[in-house]
Amino acid sequence: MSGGLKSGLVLLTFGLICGLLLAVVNEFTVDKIAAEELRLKTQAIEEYYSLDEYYIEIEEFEEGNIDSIFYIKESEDSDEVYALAYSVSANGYGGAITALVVIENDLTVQDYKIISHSESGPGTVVTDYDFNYSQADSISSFDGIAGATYTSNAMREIFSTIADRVESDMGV
Amino acid sequence: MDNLIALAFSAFILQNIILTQFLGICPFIGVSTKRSSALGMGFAVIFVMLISSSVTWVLYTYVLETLDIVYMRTIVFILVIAALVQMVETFLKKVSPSLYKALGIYLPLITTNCAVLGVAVLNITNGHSFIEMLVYTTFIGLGFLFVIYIFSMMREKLGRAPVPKAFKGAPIALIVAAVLAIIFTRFGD
Amino acid sequence: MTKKENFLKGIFKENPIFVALLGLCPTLAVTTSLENAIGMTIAVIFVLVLSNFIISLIMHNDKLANLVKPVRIPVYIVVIATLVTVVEMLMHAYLIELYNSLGIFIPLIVVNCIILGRAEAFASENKPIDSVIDGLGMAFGFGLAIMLVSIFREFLGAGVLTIWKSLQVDLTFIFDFLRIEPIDMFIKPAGAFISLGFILAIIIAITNRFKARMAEKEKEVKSNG
Repeated sequence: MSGGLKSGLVLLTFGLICGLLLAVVNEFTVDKIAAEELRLKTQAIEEYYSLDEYYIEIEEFEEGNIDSIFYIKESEDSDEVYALAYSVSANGYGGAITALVVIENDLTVQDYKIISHSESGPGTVVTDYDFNYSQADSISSFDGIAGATYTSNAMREIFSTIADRVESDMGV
Repeated sequence: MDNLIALAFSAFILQNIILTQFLGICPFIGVSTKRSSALGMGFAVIFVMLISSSVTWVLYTYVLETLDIVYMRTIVFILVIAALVQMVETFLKKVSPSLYKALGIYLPLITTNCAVLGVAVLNITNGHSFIEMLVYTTFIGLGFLFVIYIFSMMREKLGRAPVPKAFKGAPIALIVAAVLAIIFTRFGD
Repeated sequence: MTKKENFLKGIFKENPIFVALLGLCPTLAVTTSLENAIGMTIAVIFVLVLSNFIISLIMHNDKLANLVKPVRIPVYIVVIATLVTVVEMLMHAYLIELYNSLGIFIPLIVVNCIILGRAEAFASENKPIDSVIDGLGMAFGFGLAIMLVSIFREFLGAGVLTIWKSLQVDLTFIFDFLRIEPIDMFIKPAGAFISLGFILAIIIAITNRFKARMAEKEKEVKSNG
């Protein structure tokens, strides 16, 4: 057997052993990872609506800048949406900004907060900045961050994505 | 198109691979004492980065994801990069000895350059499409070349500067890099 | 070389970061908080110790070693990449916040020159037990170095030290006493370069003085004798 072929086989064997090992570890961790990802997502919502009192339904999106929509209901079989929470991302100055926006069923914005961002410079104030976004179906009263155009644009994109669809999601 | 331009600008300056993402620091400090070697390293990195990111992107999207074995990502990517570097080296040696002479000695160093694997992984985690991946990788690479070249000019001067003994070499280089980082992170504000 | 010397060389004489200048990328990137540095250290201990152990086992079996020799480096890379992926999955499952803040630097442990370097320079030529000790020493040396940098940066930049999750040491009173604000530049990229530059210079100055003193002592001994 030629040296090259032999070496190739050795490498392939190692690759297969390691692949199998990883498949086993993956089998053990995959459910836990999914559960933890979900916990991290609902953790942000639980600050507003505790899971003991409300029922939360999650719709996830693969494309577009909405990651997921949380439908908060008073009970599992209720048709009426009590509140909505959007997890939306847009590209800011240093990378993606992900925000969670919570909206009550009278279309007032309960709160919004930044879940993750990688801004720097003036853009870092994004985490506790008042964008003056209070009525969910319009963003006419938007105040950007002075000196951080990219960050402001990303936030405006996030809010207008929500404004465009909040009424039909809420079913009003 | 607008999106691609924003992506290119952001990759080149705002998310500069060396100064804000801290990838490829080893060649940045190690191979930047002379302008010629900085240029050679920069071009070698762009070259390898583009090929390896394209190959790993295709492999990930069409093989790993379809077979549902995305946990093999790290192994597959690093092996692909190591094999590609080998192939590029042999290919260059045969086809263009002059180019090999210019880039050759930097190629083996690139396998363990975290910038190459880093960009391949970032293209996946950022969810880039194929075109976005090409633009992002090219401009990240150009950003690497740009910064390492500027830095090598500064270091050529530093070599003759009266620096306290303890600061000679890497420490003063890092402090100069900090000044560059301040300039780059302030660009978009 | 005794076992103790073998362990300690990774921390002082051959410290991977301060002496060999290897693995600077994570040193700059994950030192924004002490917690990140601790998390990174745990991951590196796991990968380095096990990779040294496994590679030393492979290379000490004559039959296996002969088979592996021609493709030595790719085999090392496969072993290291597997261990890194295992760490990545475990962290994702049990320490998700830390996983998110370390981000891309977990898979990048694969290309951390320290790990491949120890595999090639030490584990392939030494007994498994010595390789484990060498791995532990090197990983601790790496860990102590990045923790030192992160303490420097987080203290100056935020005035606190985050040890683990909500366990924090609040040191803002020092800033209140001095009547200044924490300097948030130290958390930012530029602060990473400045901090590492100054810490390196301080360490070089200390070692230089130490070496000079040792040389003087030797001279004295000689002249006395």
